[in-house]
Amino acid sequence: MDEIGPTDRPDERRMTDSAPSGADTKTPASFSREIAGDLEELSRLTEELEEFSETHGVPPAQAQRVTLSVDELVTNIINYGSPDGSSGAIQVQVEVDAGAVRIEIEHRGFPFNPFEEVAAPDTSLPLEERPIGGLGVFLVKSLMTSVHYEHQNGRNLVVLTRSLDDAGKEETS
Amino acid sequence: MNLTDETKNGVIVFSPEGRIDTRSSSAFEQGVMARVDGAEGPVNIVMNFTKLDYINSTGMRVLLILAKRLSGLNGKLVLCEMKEHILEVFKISGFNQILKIVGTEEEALAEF
Repeated sequence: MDEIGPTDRPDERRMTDSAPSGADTKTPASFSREIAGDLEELSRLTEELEEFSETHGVPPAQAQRVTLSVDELVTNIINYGSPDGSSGAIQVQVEVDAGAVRIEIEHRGFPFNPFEEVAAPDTSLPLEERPIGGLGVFLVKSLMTSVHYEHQNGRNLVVLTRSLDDAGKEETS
Repeated sequence: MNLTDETKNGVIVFSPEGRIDTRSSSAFEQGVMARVDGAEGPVNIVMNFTKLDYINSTGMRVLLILAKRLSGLNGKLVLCEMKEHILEVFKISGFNQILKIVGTEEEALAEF
């Protein structure tokens, strides 16, 4: 299938950081990357995302949750790709303002809602019966304040939010 | 990720350093399994996470595989020196119920 247009070349890498740098910036800041379906690029992205969070005053514990969630979902896209075999470019956008972090992950492909179509692991099973895998999406749901999925114009879009108000602490559902 | 190991009282102590993510988890798995594959007697392992900054579900999967293997060999896996944000993820996953997690390396070695 050749539904990837000339503007979707995987080696086109977009890097933009807005907002002034410097610690404790309280103004909204955004992080935007486009990566090919490649684990090396994903490693770099998660490290850059951590730096970005740190620079913009996201508390380390929250920054870890954000990084891990992005990592798990993009890992899934790269590993399982699109059913048509083309993982293609993946766009990741993260915005930070005073009260929350908002994350968008977008890629071209057939509809696939990870939050409904990936079975949650039974975390109460003993070691011998515990299936290997199935954990990533479960972690995202547990670590984020909200998760949302939609499919539009041939693209999968996931929107995550993480409230930076820690009062609500862990909702392990 | 860097992986070093030393043997203390017959227990292999692994110290992964840096980040275990989807890319580096296969190196982590190979490094650890190289010490387990072909073993005939029990193999006992401590994972010291002092220098581990990050681990995702791919790396956690390796620990699960390892624990299962060791239990099949009548050996044991004990994790220690885990940073708070990593421990949180292990708790959410229920890994603290199926893997032995203790505070210090000294406590970990005392488990054998």
